[in-house]
Amino acid sequence: MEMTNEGVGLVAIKDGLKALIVERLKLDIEPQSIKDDAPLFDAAEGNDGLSLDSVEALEIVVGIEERWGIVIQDDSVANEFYSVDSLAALVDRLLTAGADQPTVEAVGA
Amino acid sequence: MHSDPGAAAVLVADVEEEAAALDVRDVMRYLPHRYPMLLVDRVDALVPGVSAEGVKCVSINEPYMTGHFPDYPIMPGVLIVDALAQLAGVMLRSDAPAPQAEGAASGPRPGVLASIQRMRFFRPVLPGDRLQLRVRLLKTLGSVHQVQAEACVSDETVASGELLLAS
Repeated sequence: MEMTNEGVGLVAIKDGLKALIVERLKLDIEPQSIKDDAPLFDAAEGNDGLSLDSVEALEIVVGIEERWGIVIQDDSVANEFYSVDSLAALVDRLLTAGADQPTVEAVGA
Repeated sequence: MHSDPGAAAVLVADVEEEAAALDVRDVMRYLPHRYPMLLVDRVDALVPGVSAEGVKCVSINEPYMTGHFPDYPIMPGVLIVDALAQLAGVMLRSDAPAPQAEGAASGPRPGVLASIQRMRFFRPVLPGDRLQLRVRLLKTLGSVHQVQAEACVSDETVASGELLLAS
Protein backbone atom coordinates (compact mmCIF):
# COMPACT_ATOMS: atom_id res chain seq x y z
CA MET A 1 0.00 0.00 0.00
CA GLU A 2 2.33 2.72 1.24
CA MET A 3 6.04 2.99 0.69
CA THR A 4 7.01 3.07 4.34
CA ASN A 5 8.98 0.91 6.70
CA GLU A 6 6.04 -1.46 6.77
CA GLY A 7 6.54 -2.21 3.10
CA VAL A 8 10.19 -3.01 3.65
CA GLY A 9 9.22 -5.18 6.62
CA LEU A 10 6.83 -7.21 4.50
CA VAL A 11 9.51 -7.93 1.93
CA ALA A 12 11.87 -9.10 4.66
CA ILE A 13 9.13 -11.25 6.16
CA LYS A 14 8.39 -12.84 2.80
CA ASP A 15 12.05 -13.64 2.24
CA GLY A 16 12.26 -15.04 5.75
CA LEU A 17 9.17 -17.15 5.18
CA LYS A 18 10.50 -18.64 1.96
CA ALA A 19 13.83 -19.49 3.58
CA LEU A 20 12.02 -20.97 6.57
CA ILE A 21 9.73 -23.10 4.40
CA VAL A 22 12.58 -24.51 2.34
CA GLU A 23 14.79 -25.10 5.37
CA ARG A 24 12.26 -26.67 7.73
CA LEU A 25 10.62 -28.84 5.11
CA LYS A 26 13.96 -29.73 3.51
CA LEU A 27 12.61 -28.83 0.08
CA ASP A 28 14.96 -29.24 -2.83
CA ILE A 29 14.23 -25.84 -4.33
CA GLU A 30 15.60 -22.32 -4.10
CA PRO A 31 13.68 -20.10 -1.64
CA GLN A 32 13.32 -17.34 -4.23
CA SER A 33 11.64 -19.78 -6.62
CA ILE A 34 8.54 -19.71 -4.40
CA LYS A 35 6.17 -17.12 -5.82
CA ASP A 36 4.56 -14.69 -3.40
CA ASP A 37 1.04 -15.46 -4.54
CA ALA A 38 1.36 -19.16 -5.35
CA PRO A 39 -0.87 -21.49 -3.27
CA LEU A 40 1.18 -23.36 -0.68
CA PHE A 41 -1.18 -26.29 -0.36
CA ASP A 42 -3.44 -26.60 -3.38
CA ALA A 43 -1.15 -27.14 -6.28
CA ALA A 44 -2.81 -27.28 -9.65
CA GLU A 45 -1.66 -27.15 -13.23
CA GLY A 46 -0.05 -23.79 -13.88
CA ASN A 47 -0.33 -22.15 -10.44
CA ASP A 48 3.17 -23.10 -9.22
CA GLY A 49 1.78 -24.38 -5.89
CA LEU A 50 3.86 -26.42 -3.48
CA SER A 51 1.32 -29.10 -2.47
CA LEU A 52 2.24 -28.99 1.20
CA ASP A 53 0.28 -31.18 3.63
CA SER A 54 -1.17 -30.59 7.09
CA VAL A 55 1.91 -31.83 8.95
CA GLU A 56 4.07 -29.47 6.91
CA ALA A 57 1.66 -26.65 7.71
CA LEU A 58 2.23 -27.23 11.40
CA GLU A 59 5.98 -27.29 10.81
CA ILE A 60 5.69 -23.87 9.19
CA VAL A 61 3.58 -22.50 12.04
CA VAL A 62 6.06 -23.72 14.65
CA GLY A 63 8.92 -22.26 12.59
CA ILE A 64 7.18 -18.89 12.31
CA GLU A 65 6.47 -18.82 16.04
CA GLU A 66 10.09 -19.62 16.88
CA ARG A 67 11.54 -17.14 14.43
CA TRP A 68 9.32 -14.14 15.12
CA GLY A 69 8.26 -14.88 18.69
CA ILE A 70 4.54 -14.72 17.94
CA VAL A 71 1.65 -17.09 18.59
CA ILE A 72 -0.55 -18.22 15.72
CA GLN A 73 -4.01 -19.34 16.76
CA ASP A 74 -5.59 -22.37 15.13
CA ASP A 75 -8.56 -20.38 13.85
CA SER A 76 -6.45 -17.81 12.04
CA VAL A 77 -4.85 -20.44 9.90
CA ALA A 78 -7.63 -21.49 7.57
CA ASN A 79 -7.92 -18.12 5.83
CA GLU A 80 -4.35 -16.92 6.02
CA PHE A 81 -2.40 -20.03 5.15
CA TYR A 82 -2.89 -19.63 1.46
CA SER A 83 0.29 -18.13 0.08
CA VAL A 84 3.52 -16.42 1.12
CA ASP A 85 1.66 -13.15 0.60
CA SER A 86 -1.14 -14.01 3.01
CA LEU A 87 1.23 -15.57 5.55
CA ALA A 88 3.45 -12.48 5.52
CA ALA A 89 0.40 -10.29 6.17
CA LEU A 90 -0.50 -12.50 9.13
CA VAL A 91 3.03 -12.33 10.58
CA ASP A 92 3.16 -8.57 10.03
CA ARG A 93 -0.18 -8.07 11.76
CA LEU A 94 0.79 -10.25 14.76
CA LEU A 95 4.12 -8.46 15.10
CA THR A 96 2.37 -5.10 15.08
CA ALA A 97 -0.24 -6.29 17.58
CA GLY A 98 2.49 -7.73 19.79
CA ALA A 99 4.34 -4.42 19.84
CA ASP A 100 1.21 -2.46 20.73
CA GLN A 101 -0.03 -4.36 23.74
CA PRO A 102 1.34 -6.48 26.58
CA THR A 103 1.30 -10.21 26.15
CA VAL A 104 -1.51 -12.38 27.47
CA GLU A 105 0.86 -13.85 30.05
CA ALA A 106 1.69 -10.39 31.35
CA VAL A 107 -1.97 -9.50 31.66
CA GLY A 108 -2.83 -12.72 33.45
CA ALA A 109 0.03 -12.48 35.94
CA MET B 1 1.59 -42.33 44.65
CA HIS B 2 3.54 -39.92 42.50
CA SER B 3 7.20 -40.45 43.06
CA ASP B 4 7.90 -37.17 41.30
CA PRO B 5 5.32 -34.58 42.31
CA GLY B 6 7.61 -31.80 41.12
CA ALA B 7 7.57 -32.93 37.52
CA ALA B 8 3.83 -33.49 37.70
CA ALA B 9 3.37 -29.95 38.89
CA VAL B 10 5.35 -28.65 35.93
CA LEU B 11 2.99 -30.36 33.54
CA VAL B 12 -0.28 -29.32 35.13
CA ALA B 13 0.70 -26.19 37.05
CA ASP B 14 -1.06 -23.88 34.63
CA VAL B 15 -4.21 -25.97 34.60
CA GLU B 16 -7.03 -25.25 36.97
CA GLU B 17 -9.12 -28.28 36.11
CA GLU B 18 -9.00 -31.38 38.25
CA ALA B 19 -6.90 -34.16 36.69
CA ALA B 20 -8.71 -37.49 36.28
CA ALA B 21 -7.38 -41.03 36.76
CA LEU B 22 -8.22 -43.98 34.49
CA ASP B 23 -7.76 -47.69 35.09
CA VAL B 24 -6.94 -49.95 32.17
CA ARG B 25 -10.60 -50.63 31.39
CA ASP B 26 -11.15 -46.90 31.00
CA VAL B 27 -8.00 -46.66 28.89
CA MET B 28 -9.41 -49.33 26.57
CA ARG B 29 -12.52 -47.24 26.07
CA TYR B 30 -10.34 -44.56 24.53
CA LEU B 31 -7.84 -46.73 22.66
CA PRO B 32 -8.47 -49.54 20.17
CA HIS B 33 -5.09 -51.12 21.03
CA ARG B 34 -5.13 -54.59 22.60
CA TYR B 35 -2.58 -57.25 23.54
CA PRO B 36 0.26 -57.16 22.78
CA MET B 37 0.12 -53.53 21.66
CA LEU B 38 -1.74 -51.80 24.47
CA LEU B 39 1.17 -49.96 26.08
CA VAL B 40 -0.60 -47.86 28.71
CA ASP B 41 -1.48 -49.74 31.91
CA ARG B 42 -2.98 -46.84 33.78
CA VAL B 43 -3.51 -43.09 33.55
CA ASP B 44 -2.84 -41.20 36.77
CA ALA B 45 -3.53 -37.63 35.77
CA LEU B 46 -5.58 -36.79 32.72
CA VAL B 47 -6.54 -33.27 31.73
CA PRO B 48 -8.40 -33.81 28.45
CA GLY B 49 -6.85 -31.95 25.55
CA VAL B 50 -4.08 -30.53 27.74
CA SER B 51 -1.84 -33.14 29.36
CA ALA B 52 -1.68 -36.67 30.72
CA GLU B 53 0.50 -38.84 32.92
CA GLY B 54 0.41 -42.60 32.76
CA VAL B 55 2.23 -45.78 33.61
CA LYS B 56 3.51 -48.74 31.62
CA CYS B 57 5.00 -51.56 33.68
CA VAL B 58 7.60 -53.51 31.73
CA SER B 59 7.91 -57.26 32.30
CA ILE B 60 10.19 -60.04 31.10
CA ASN B 61 6.96 -61.61 29.83
CA GLU B 62 6.53 -58.96 27.14
CA PRO B 63 6.40 -60.92 23.87
CA TYR B 64 9.19 -58.87 22.27
CA MET B 65 11.64 -59.70 25.06
CA THR B 66 12.11 -63.15 23.50
CA GLY B 67 13.95 -61.70 20.56
CA HIS B 68 14.92 -58.19 21.71
CA PHE B 69 17.34 -59.46 22.76
CA PRO B 70 17.78 -63.11 23.81
CA ASP B 71 20.85 -62.29 25.89
CA TYR B 72 19.91 -58.72 26.79
CA PRO B 73 16.15 -58.10 27.12
CA ILE B 74 15.30 -54.40 26.69
CA MET B 75 12.13 -52.60 25.60
CA PRO B 76 12.45 -51.43 21.97
CA GLY B 77 12.71 -47.64 21.75
CA VAL B 78 9.96 -47.47 19.15
CA LEU B 79 7.60 -49.09 21.63
CA ILE B 80 8.46 -46.44 24.22
CA VAL B 81 7.49 -43.92 21.55
CA ASP B 82 4.25 -45.79 20.87
CA ALA B 83 3.43 -45.91 24.58
CA LEU B 84 3.79 -42.12 24.63
CA ALA B 85 1.73 -41.80 21.45
CA GLN B 86 -1.00 -43.97 22.98
CA LEU B 87 -1.11 -41.80 26.09
CA ALA B 88 -1.30 -38.76 23.81
CA GLY B 89 -4.19 -40.52 22.06
CA VAL B 90 -6.03 -40.80 25.38
CA MET B 91 -5.34 -37.13 26.05
CA LEU B 92 -6.70 -36.11 22.65
CA ARG B 93 -9.64 -38.49 22.47
CA SER B 94 -10.84 -37.69 25.98
CA ASP B 95 -11.29 -34.13 24.78
CA ALA B 96 -13.74 -35.33 22.12
CA PRO B 97 -17.36 -36.37 22.77
CA ALA B 98 -17.80 -39.28 25.18
CA PRO B 99 -16.45 -42.59 23.84
CA GLN B 100 -18.61 -45.61 23.18
CA ALA B 101 -18.71 -48.24 25.93
CA GLU B 102 -17.73 -50.88 23.38
CA GLY B 103 -15.49 -50.78 20.33
CA ALA B 104 -13.45 -47.64 20.70
CA ALA B 105 -12.15 -48.29 17.20
CA SER B 106 -15.55 -47.36 15.80
CA GLY B 107 -15.10 -43.79 17.04
CA PRO B 108 -12.69 -41.22 15.68
CA ARG B 109 -9.17 -42.42 14.99
CA PRO B 110 -6.89 -42.56 18.01
CA GLY B 111 -4.45 -39.93 16.85
CA VAL B 112 -2.13 -41.83 14.57
CA LEU B 113 1.53 -40.87 14.50
CA ALA B 114 2.39 -38.40 11.78
CA SER B 115 5.91 -37.47 12.83
CA ILE B 116 8.50 -38.26 15.51
CA GLN B 117 10.75 -35.31 16.25
CA ARG B 118 13.83 -34.77 18.37
CA MET B 119 13.27 -38.08 20.13
CA ARG B 120 16.21 -39.13 22.23
CA PHE B 121 16.76 -42.26 24.26
CA PHE B 122 18.95 -41.86 27.31
CA ARG B 123 19.16 -45.34 28.79
CA PRO B 124 17.75 -48.82 28.17
CA VAL B 125 14.40 -49.85 29.67
CA LEU B 126 14.64 -53.24 31.35
CA PRO B 127 12.23 -55.84 32.73
CA GLY B 128 10.98 -54.58 36.10
CA ASP B 129 11.09 -50.93 35.07
CA ARG B 130 8.00 -48.83 35.65
CA LEU B 131 7.74 -46.38 32.77
CA GLN B 132 6.27 -43.05 33.82
CA LEU B 133 4.79 -41.48 30.70
CA ARG B 134 4.05 -37.78 30.39
CA VAL B 135 2.56 -35.93 27.45
CA ARG B 136 1.49 -32.34 26.98
CA LEU B 137 -0.28 -30.76 24.02
CA LEU B 138 1.83 -27.96 22.57
CA LYS B 139 -0.21 -26.95 19.57
CA THR B 140 -3.08 -27.99 17.37
CA LEU B 141 -3.39 -26.99 13.76
CA GLY B 142 -6.46 -28.34 12.06
CA SER B 143 -6.25 -32.10 12.51
CA VAL B 144 -2.56 -32.21 13.48
CA HIS B 145 -1.47 -32.10 17.11
CA GLN B 146 2.03 -31.36 18.36
CA VAL B 147 2.80 -33.12 21.64
CA GLN B 148 5.73 -32.89 24.05
CA ALA B 149 6.46 -36.40 25.34
CA GLU B 150 8.70 -37.81 28.03
CA ALA B 151 9.23 -41.21 29.60
CA CYS B 152 10.96 -41.67 32.95
CA VAL B 153 12.03 -44.58 35.13
CA SER B 154 12.55 -43.75 38.80
CA ASP B 155 12.37 -40.06 37.89
CA GLU B 156 15.23 -40.42 35.44
CA THR B 157 14.37 -39.49 31.85
CA VAL B 158 14.80 -42.48 29.55
CA ALA B 159 13.29 -40.91 26.43
CA SER B 160 11.96 -37.51 25.40
CA GLY B 161 10.94 -35.68 22.24
CA GLU B 162 8.00 -34.39 20.29
CA LEU B 163 5.28 -36.24 18.45
CA LEU B 164 2.89 -35.09 15.77
CA LEU B 165 -0.41 -36.94 15.80
CA ALA B 166 -3.13 -36.69 13.19
CA SER B 167 -6.78 -37.17 14.01
